Order: sequence, then C-alpha cells, then structure tokens
Amino acid sequence: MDTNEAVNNETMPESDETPETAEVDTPAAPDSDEPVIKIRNLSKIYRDFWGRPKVQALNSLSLDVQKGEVFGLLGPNGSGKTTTMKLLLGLLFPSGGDITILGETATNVEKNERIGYLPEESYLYRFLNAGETLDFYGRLFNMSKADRRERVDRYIEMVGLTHARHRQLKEYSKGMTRRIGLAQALINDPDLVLLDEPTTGLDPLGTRDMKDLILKLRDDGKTVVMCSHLLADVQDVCDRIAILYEGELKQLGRVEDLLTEQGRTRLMTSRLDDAAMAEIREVIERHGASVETIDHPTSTLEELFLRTVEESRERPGRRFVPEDAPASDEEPAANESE
Amino acid sequence: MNRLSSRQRKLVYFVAILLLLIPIFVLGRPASGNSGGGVLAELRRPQGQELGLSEHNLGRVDPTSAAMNLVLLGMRGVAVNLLWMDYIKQQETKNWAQVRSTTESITMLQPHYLQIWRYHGWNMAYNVAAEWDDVRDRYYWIKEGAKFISDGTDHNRFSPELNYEIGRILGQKMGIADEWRVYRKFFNPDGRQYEGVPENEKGDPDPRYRGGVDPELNPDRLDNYLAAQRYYQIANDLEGQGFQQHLMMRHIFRQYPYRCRLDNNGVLNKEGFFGDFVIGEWAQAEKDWIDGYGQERFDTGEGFQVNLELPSEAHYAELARSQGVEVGQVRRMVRSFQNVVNYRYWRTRSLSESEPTTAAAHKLLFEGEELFKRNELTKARTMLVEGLDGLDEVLSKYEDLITEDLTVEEALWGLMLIKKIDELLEKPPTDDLPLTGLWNRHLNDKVPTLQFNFNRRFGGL
Amino acid sequence: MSIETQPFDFLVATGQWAFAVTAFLVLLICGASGLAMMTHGVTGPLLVFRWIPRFPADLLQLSPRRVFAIAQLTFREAIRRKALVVFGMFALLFMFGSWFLDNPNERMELQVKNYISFVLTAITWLLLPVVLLLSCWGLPEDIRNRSLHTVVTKPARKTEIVIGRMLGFSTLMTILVVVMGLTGYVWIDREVAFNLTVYSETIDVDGQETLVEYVDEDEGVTVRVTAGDEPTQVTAATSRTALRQENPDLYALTERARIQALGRHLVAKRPVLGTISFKGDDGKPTERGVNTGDIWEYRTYIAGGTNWRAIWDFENVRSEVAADGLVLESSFEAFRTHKGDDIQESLLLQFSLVKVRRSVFRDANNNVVSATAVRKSRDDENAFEATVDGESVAVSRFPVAAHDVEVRNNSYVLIDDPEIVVLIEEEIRAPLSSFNISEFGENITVLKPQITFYDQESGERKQLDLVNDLVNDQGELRVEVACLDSGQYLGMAQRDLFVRLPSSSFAVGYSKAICGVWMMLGLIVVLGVTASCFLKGPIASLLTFVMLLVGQGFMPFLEKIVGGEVEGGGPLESIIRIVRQINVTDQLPENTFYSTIKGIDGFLNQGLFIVKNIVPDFRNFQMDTYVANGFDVPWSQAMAPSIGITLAYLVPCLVVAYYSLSLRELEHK
Repeated sequence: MDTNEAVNNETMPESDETPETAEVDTPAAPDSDEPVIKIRNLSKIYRDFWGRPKVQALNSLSLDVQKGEVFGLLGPNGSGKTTTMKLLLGLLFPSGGDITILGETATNVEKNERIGYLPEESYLYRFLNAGETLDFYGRLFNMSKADRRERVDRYIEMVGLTHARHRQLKEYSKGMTRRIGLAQALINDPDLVLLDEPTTGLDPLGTRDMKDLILKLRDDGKTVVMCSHLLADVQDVCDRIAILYEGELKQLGRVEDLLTEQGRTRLMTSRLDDAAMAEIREVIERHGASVETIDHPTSTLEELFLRTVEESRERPGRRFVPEDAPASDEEPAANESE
Repeated sequence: MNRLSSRQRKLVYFVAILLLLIPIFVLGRPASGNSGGGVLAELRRPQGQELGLSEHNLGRVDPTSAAMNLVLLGMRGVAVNLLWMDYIKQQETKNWAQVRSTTESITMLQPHYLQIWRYHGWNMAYNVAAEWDDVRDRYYWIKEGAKFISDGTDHNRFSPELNYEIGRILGQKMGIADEWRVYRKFFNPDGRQYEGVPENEKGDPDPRYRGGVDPELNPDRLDNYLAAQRYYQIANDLEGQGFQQHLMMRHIFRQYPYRCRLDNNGVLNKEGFFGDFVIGEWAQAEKDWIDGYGQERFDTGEGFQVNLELPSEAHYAELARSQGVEVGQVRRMVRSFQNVVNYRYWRTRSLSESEPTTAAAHKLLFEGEELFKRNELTKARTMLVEGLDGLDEVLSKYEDLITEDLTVEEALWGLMLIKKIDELLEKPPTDDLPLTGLWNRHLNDKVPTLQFNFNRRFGGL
Repeated sequence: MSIETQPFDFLVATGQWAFAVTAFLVLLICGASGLAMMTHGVTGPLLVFRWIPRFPADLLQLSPRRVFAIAQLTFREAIRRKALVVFGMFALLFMFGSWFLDNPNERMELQVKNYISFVLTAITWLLLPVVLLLSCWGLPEDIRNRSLHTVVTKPARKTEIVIGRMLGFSTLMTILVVVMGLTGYVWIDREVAFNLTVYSETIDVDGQETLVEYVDEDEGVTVRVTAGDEPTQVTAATSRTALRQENPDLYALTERARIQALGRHLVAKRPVLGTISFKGDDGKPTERGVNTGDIWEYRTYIAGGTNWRAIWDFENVRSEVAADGLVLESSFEAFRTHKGDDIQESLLLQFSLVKVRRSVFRDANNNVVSATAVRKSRDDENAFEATVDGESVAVSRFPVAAHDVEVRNNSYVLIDDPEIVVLIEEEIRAPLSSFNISEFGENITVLKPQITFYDQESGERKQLDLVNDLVNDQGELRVEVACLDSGQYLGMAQRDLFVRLPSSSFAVGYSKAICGVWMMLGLIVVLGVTASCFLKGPIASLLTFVMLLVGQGFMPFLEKIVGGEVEGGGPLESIIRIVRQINVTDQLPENTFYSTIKGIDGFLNQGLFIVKNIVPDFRNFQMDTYVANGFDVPWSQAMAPSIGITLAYLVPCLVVAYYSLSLRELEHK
C-alpha cells in the first residue's frame, strides 16, 4: 500500500481531462487550426530516490506542432529530445506545464489509437518473429483477425522484410529491427507519428528509404514528429525544427527561415579566378558592404546547430519562446533568430 | 600484470592452473587395474592394507545418498537439522508413515553417523512400538527398529555398536517386554516349546510371512535370544578385530553372546518347557560361560589383565605370577569384575539347572501352578510341595543360589501358592512346609512385594 | 490420521473480506490524498478523487482481444525463458523418487501415504519457484528493456496489461500443473500397483463370498482361495506370468482381488462429520475428555470401565441413510495404564445409538427461557412452567439443532446465548455389540436399517428401526462411545468417528488436491504480478516469497502472537529479554523504560495483526493430508476456502496493480 503511494510521489500527472471529454471517436477536425501537439511551459525534473531534484531535463518548453507538418526536434545528447517525446506519449509525467496531444492529455490511453511511435532503440519483443510482432500490436489495437492479416502482410512488404518474416527478432540486424519497428508504429495507420531517431543504425540506402517514407507520410496528410541528432536527415525532411540544448528551447522555426540569414548575402558561383574575385570584392565594398569569408559551401544546418550550441554555452540561460506562448515566470526570453 | 595483454594474462592463468593440477593428479589419481593409483588412493586402500580411508570401506555406498550430498553442497548438516525437526513434529502427531520416511532421508544424508542409526532404531523398537495397542503392530515396529539398524550395518560394516543394538532389540526387547510370550511365538514358531500351539497362534503375523519367520531377521529360524546371539557375536568379533565400541566396559560388552543362551534357557523354563533338551542346553550354556567368556582376558586399568574363571587359589596365584602382580590385587579385580556381570551366579545357575533334580523341581512348581489355575487344588498342593522339596535340595547343594533373586522368588511364589491353596481349602496354616526358613529370612523385603503381585493376579489372601 | 481444520463460514468470511478491502481502500485513499496535498497543495485530494473512477472505467472498457494478446505474449515469453525446464526436474524426481520412498518392509498403507504426499509436495515445490520468479520478473523486465513502451503507447489499458500478464502466467502454470498432476497420478497408481505384492480380499464369485489371499515373493507366487466354508485351496507358481499361463481362471480371480485391494488403498472416502462432546464419570457433559499427558492435544481420552463417554451428534442423517443403513468408520487411539492379562487383545469398546430430544423453552412472548428454570408438570408432558425473576411463567419448548449446542461449564448451552441451558432428554438407547479397536487403522461398523440389540433392562433382544426409531425428528443421530477395559483410556478427536458415504474414486480426491495446488500457484501469480507492478524484479520476488513463507509457515506463530498467547512479550521486549537473559517467566522491572517498550510493542503487535490479516493463509491450499489419508477433499472445509481466498485477493490486487502502473513512470532508471 505504501509502496504504491511511493510511486505516486510527485509524479502524479495533473490531468484536468475527465474520461467523458476524451471521446475516442471524436476525430480531430483535419482542417481546424487546433495544433496537433500543444506544449505549454513544459518542465521535467528527474529526482532521486529521496525526491531531491537530480537533473532538470526540460525547462519551460512551449511549442506547437501543426497538422500535416514534419517537425524535427534537434539537440545534442541529453538535451531533452527523448524526454519530450516520452512526455508526449505519457511514458513520463511532467513536473510542470501542460501537454495537449490530438486534443487530449498525454496520459489518456485513447489518444494512442491515432498515434504511432517508433522508439529510439529496438524495444520490441525479441522472441517474436516479424509476423507475430505485427500481429501482436495489431491485436492491441483491437483489430479483427482478417484486418490484422491484411495489414501485417502490407506493412512487412512495405518495410521490405518479407524474406525475414519468420525469423525471430533477436536474429535481426539493426537496420531490420528499425524497419520492423517502423512497421509496428504504422500498423494502426496513425494520424500522428512520433519517430525517435528514425535513421540511426540505417545504411545510406535505408536512410534514404526512411526519409522517403517520412515525406510520403506527410503527403498522406499525417503529422510527423521526429527527433534526431543527424542534421542532414532533419534538414532534408523537416518542415519546422526546434533545437534543444540542456532542456531549453534554443531555436524554433521553419528550416528555410532558420537557415536564411536576413543580414547577410551569400553568393555561390562557379569557380572564379583571382582577378574576378578582386573585382567582385571591389564592387561589394563600393556598395558599403564587406566580404567576410570566401569559402566552399558547407552543410548549413550543421553550422547553425553548432553555432546555437556554442552560443548557449557562452551565454547560458537564454531560450526561445514562441510569440504566442505565455511568458514564463522566469527570466525574460531572448529570441535568438530575430 | 598491467603490461600483459588480455591474451597473455589468460595464458598465464592457464599455465598456473596446469601447474596446480599436477600435484592434484599425483595425489588423487584413482587406482585402476594394475596401477596403484595416486598417493591418496594408496592411503584409501581397503582395510588392512593401508589406512582404509575411502568411503566404501565403511560399508555400502548408496548412489542416491552420494548424489544427495553432492547436490546439497555441504549443506547436509542443515538439511538433516530441518529433517530432524520435521521428524520430531511427525512423531508428536503420530504420523508414523512420515516418521519412517523422514528417518530414511536423514540416514540417506548421513549414512555413517552411527548415533542416528542407533537412536532411530531404538526409537522405533521402544517408543513407536509402545504407541500401538495391537500386539501385532507393536511387534511390527520392534522388527522395524531392528531392521533399520540392520540397514545401518550395511552402511557401516565395522560397527560393533550397531550389531550390539540389533542383538539388544531381538534379545532383551522381545524377551523381557511384557508381551514376551507373544513376541517369542511370533519370532520363532518352529521352537520345540511351541509344538502343541495351534498354527494360527504362532509365527509372524505379517501376511507376507504367513505365520512363518521374518527371513530378514531370523533366516535360520532361531529363538529370539539365539538370533540375538548371532548379532552379539558379530559385535564381539568386530570388537576383537580392533573396532572399538564406546558403549560400556569391555567385560560387560563381551558377555552378551554367552548370556543369550543362558537367558534363552531361563525363558524356556518360564514357558513351561523342561526335559532333556533344556537340560542339555543348560549344560552347553555352562560350558560356553566358563570356557568361553570365563577365559577371556580383560584389562583392569591397573596395568594387568584378568580372566573371570579362576576355579581355585592355584589359578589366582598363577595369574598373579604371569602378570607380575600380587594375588590380592588379582583377587580384588576378579571379584569386582565378576560382581558386575553376576558371573558366579550364572555359573552356579547353569550348573544347577543342568542337573535333572533342578529341572524336575522347576517342572513340578510350574505344573503345580497350572493345576492351581485349573482349580485342582489338592493335586496342585502335592506337586508344589514336591517341587519345593526339590528346590530345597538344589539350594543346599549350590549355596550361592540362595542369594539370587530368581531362585528365591520362585521358592517364595511356590510357598504363596501353597498358602493360598490352604486358605481356599480352609486348612489351618502349617509350619512344616519346606524352605520356611527362606520365607522368614525375606519376610520384610521380598515377601511383601511379591505378595502384592500375587494378590493382583490371584486375589487377596 | 489427523486433520486439524478450522471451520470456514463463507458468509462470515465474505463479510470480513468486504470489511478488510473497504478499510484498505479507505486507507489508500486517505494516504494518497495526504501525499497529494503535500505535493500539489489543496488541489491534491481533488486530483486523487478524480482518479478513483478511472479504475472501474478502465475495467469496464476491457478488451478481451488485447488481454489475450498480452496473455499469449506472456506465455510465449515464459516458454522462451525456459520455464519448461521444470518438467525435466520433475521427471528426474520421479525417476529417482522411488529410490527414496520404496521400502519393501513398510506397510502398504504407510507407503501409499508417502507416495501421495511426495507427489503433491514435489509438484508444489517444483512449481512454486518457477511461477514466483516468472510472475515477479515479467513486468519489471519489460520495463527494464522498455518493451513495455511499445505496449503502453498502443491503446492497451493498464488493467489489460495486468490481467493479461496474470492470465498468461496462469495458463502456463495450468499446463504445468495438469501435466505434472497427470504424471503424478500415473506414478502413484503404478507404484502402488507394483508394490502391492501381498493382499487378501474377499470378493464375490457367483454369489459366494470368496477369500483370495495372494503373496508374491522372490521365490514365487502363492494363492489361497477360500470359498465360503470350503477348505482352503492353495496354488503356487513360479511367477505371476507363470500363474497366468498355467491357471488363467485363478489368475483372473487374483486380478479381481488385486483391483479391489488397489481400490482400498487408493480411495477418497467421503465422511459426514458430527460434533463431538464428552460425558464425564459423573454423567455431566464436558468439553474435553481426560488428559493422559500426550504432548499432542489433538485427542482427549475417555476412561475405560467408567461412565466416561464420547458423544458424536450427526445431523441430516435421515436423508443420507436411505434404506441401506449407515457405515460408521472410527479410528481411536489407545492409552494403556497397564498392559493387563489379555495382552494380545486390543482395547474393547462399544457404540450405543441414542435418540435424543434437544430442546429449550420460551415463554408466551417468544423470549427464550433458561431450561434450568423449567418445572415439568406431572400430568401433561408438554406443559412446562418456569420461574423468571421469581415470577412463574408458562413456557413451551422448541427443538434446537446439534450444531447450535455446545458444552460449557458441564452443561449443554446454546452457542449464540451461553446463558440458555439446553435440555437433552434421552429417549431410546440401543447399545451395539462391543469390538476391539484396530488402532490407526479403520474400524468399520455397519449399521443395518434394522438394529438388533440386547436390552439390559429387560434382558431381551430387541429390534429397532434405525431411521424411524433412533433418528430424532430433526434428523439427528447420537452415537455414544464407551471404552470397556477398566483402567485403560481411549483417545478421540472430532474426526475419529464419522458416517462414511460411498467413497469417491481416488482420482476425484487427487484432482481436488491438485486443484488446491493450482489455486495456490494462481494466487502466487496474482501476488507476484501485482508486486511487480510497483517493485523491481528481485524485490517483488522477495516480497512474494516472504508472503508465501509467512502465510505457509509462520501463520500459526503469527496467530499466537496476535492472540497474545506467546510468552515473553512483543518483538522489542523479547529482544531485550534475550539480550539481557531475562527468563520469560520473570517479571520485568516496572519503570518508564519498560513501559515505553511495552507501549511500542503494543503498536508493533498491531502491525503484526495487520500483516496477519493481509498475508493470505496458504495453509488452506494444503489438501494433501486429506488425500494421503484416503479422504476426499471436502468442499466446505477445503475447496471453498481456497477458491475464496484466491478470488478475494484478485480484486484488491487488481486495484493496487492498476494504480501502481498508472501512477508510475514506466521508465527504467
């Protein structure tokens, strides 16, 4: 009895959603302006056995994810991406703030009907084979036998595991496990797909397939939230990204917007000789501007990412707050991308 | 060590293990065929050649028992403790089936712990048996006790103590218990004394033996004391080979096989069996007692040895001379040893009993009592008086017997029967009965107790 | 044969259960509210109350498909964890079990007891660790390797996960129990058949009673057949097979006898138990007989050759008698103060059948009046008068049932009001012929529908009808037992005399005992899965194991402590006594220190009281004593309590499991 309360300690999710309002069958109106995910002032503090704060994993995070977009959560290891993901799924309970996901609270079981989740690593049951795995998850969605059979076949084929269908998952390579994980996440044809590091462990070809699939999901009108530290993937598929560092939101916006620096202009030409270079430099100086660097193009998101991380290190405590988010009671926010 | 790579380290370990294995191999190599085996195997050689240390030298080794001990990883002491606690509870709640199997398990774990065999064998024969009401059940459990210890001797071939215990159960328990008449009939239906007894009243009550004998305990169809004698003899033989017993002093321990025959003859008389056969038996018993037991040498603990049969002063002197001590010292020790085992009484008794006069007196007294029970009083009285006369004659010949309880009690009992008959016939008390002097001598010690027992059986005087 | 049972009243138990569960839930809610108040302020309790309806809501929306999916997964997982290795252990045990158990010397009936106890104990103790570990490690392992994340992010409800887990483990456990139970049955049957080398049975051959005695030894087989009064016919053969070839008719006969003998050894007797009381030498009723100094206080004794009587009252006899009469079975214990002359004879005892009228009185206002106050009117047998507070009142009498009456202070009183004395009038008495007891064995007394007996008063033989003359209006029959040997004592307990109904087959009793094992393991699964919802694997195993240990082994001790029967005080006091070497009988010095200690002990004892009432009493599942002793497992005393206990724990365990899983972060730290 006491042990039960000990579990209850501090982590009891605050929920103002009663089961009546959490109706399963109410589809979220596809055209409504209501964001698919609404996070307000979300904080998470991990505590030790005695209830003393150990790690501030997330600090007053606020963001929205709109329907139909591919949203990327970026950040170095330990920045709070996975914590955010788990808070969204109700696997963790927030220490403060609110989450609304598909119009319901995170701890509500019914929302899972419309969510697909691919965990970071392969957490599937290793003693099942591909068919059994998908069948099992299909049953959790209360699908009929015929329905399950059809879907299992379809998704195994989609992720290209038909040849390994009867092998136990413990014999699978990392890439194969990711594929079956993805199939498992999509088995219920979800409206919202949460992908935790979808491309880790995949070879370039597999990565390509995964990206194509994400884009296809977007084309089908589904909302995708992915977190990753592989910037190239994010850059390729995400409509909007958020960069987290040490539990704080540092950047948020459309990928193109974030990468377009309004105060600077970059020329990209075919190779020029020195004379032409000098001439161009002259023209620029004549217009009152100066040439800062002349180099070869780099992966620009990487640059942004590194810069963000470095700036955060130099000037800790500054974080990004979206305009429509209510101001938190902490220090004033600095909008870094302005 | 740090500088070594993991592979090098493993190599070093491997070599070290090999090095350590060499002495183990040298020491522990088992004996096989023509090779003598390792040093330990040499030491473990069967008894007589080396130290006799291997387990199977002790007796039969049970694969189950060995396996159990292996599985318990040296925790068998704990396991036995737990089992023993179970056993106590089971005995308290009279759960005999489980008592038996629990003891079985205990000995399975500690087959060479002699006290366990002794204790549980004794417990079954004396305590468990007593809990049952039906005499057949009691007999069954007495046998169980003996068989249990007999099992123990399989595991411990060289224990004089266990063999002694079997002898004790078969001899004393069956021969002295209140139910001795029944037990003896059960034990050996072939005894000459039971010739007239109907088939269904003798022989082992267990349906398996169909009124015969229990082949496990009595394969040779002997009376209980003579069957016990076999086991006592084994115990003595083992003791003679140097396997020590720790139960009692040596001269007491070694008397038992000889005593069995004496006891058996006594019981035959009590069963009303007389005649040449018994007289012959007594003569044989006397011979055994004097020539066998009486010649055995015992350490006195004072630096010299004595034997108990010393018929004349010359013998004492001779013994003293050969041992290099004074005659007085020898006489004192012999006297004390003889007293402890009642040596002289048994000598005299067997001597007297092997005379036809004594046998006739016993027979007359026994039959007189039987006649009294059948209410043939006048006839009974005549026989009893005749018997007492015979006894008087014997007592005057063997004066030693006059101090011995059994004979005295027999005489007093006879006198009581006569007095009772006189009372019933309403005759005036007479003083001219034989052995009246004996009666008067014991008027204050033996007579009252005996009279009480007499009255309990036959009603007040 | 001894079975000590506590009476079990389902209604009372249910009431207690409901009370306990309610108290538990209330405590839980209060505790949770308090905690929530601390962490969330004033809104905390509100939050708690918002959570309360979630469990029933969750339970109502249970989807069988999801539950079965999880159950199947659990089952597969357990198989992959090599749970079936236990079969190997089982096989090993049974291959070598007979090494330990076979004892050619031992009596068959004792052997049979050992076989049955061995099988049931082996099954229980082989499966307990397997089931306990599996159920305690299943969920924590899932949480540790985060497989549970993929399940809880699907629409699977927490109750579904818990129930699915329980169902999965139970299914596996059921298969194990069934296979082992069947194997065990076959093993017992074969061992008994194999060891049954000596038997003598009376069988019916063409309407004639024939005694077949069969002995199989190393030397050969001997068969004696005694038909009626004919002389014995002995046949010998070298072996059983030889007998079969040489004399097939005789072989068939021996096989019939053999099956009958097997049936006698492997049987499930169905007793109808009565209530026991005693009558002392002075003729007054007493609760217990004479104490002969036996450590074991199961039986009390009656003195032989005196007026001491043991009395059994059987109820509902009429319906069971039918026309065929009754079979009484008894097994008493003798205690001799002297062996006596007839040393070969066991003690002699005698049954008397008595028809009694048990009645109390009530006045015109239906108030019950103590029977001692009643004065019988001489003229009218049914007119009575009593004096209450010095005033005389008219009363009438009404009958009471045997189970309403007990003995206190040398008189029969009503259980529900010990102030009311029950008047017991003996109407007819039929002494039966005496017989010698066979101790620790079965004594069968067949009561024919017509009882013929020798009436000492008139000195004539009389005949009475069992049902019509000896059973009273309420369908009750009293059996009085007397020991006829003076100076000897006869010990008896309630179960020592019973009306024996036609026996069930051994398989029935055995399967009930297996069912007991099954329910016990089921309870372990429930407890284990519940514990694993809020504890990590090792701790959950430990908790469940401790519950098992306390519920199985320490319950009697715990009962004694809680009942205040243990000498030496509470936990602290006893520690101090041990350390300071103060004897339990010594008074402790009276000072504040010791009174504080006693105060704390009182509090700790309250804690033990709670423990005693929370931990399931696993003794209820032990039915092997019944089966091993050749009895059927009774519904009311063994089956019902065990089913009841398993179900009783299921409900609160589900509640605890649901909230534990819902209110904890399913993240391995």
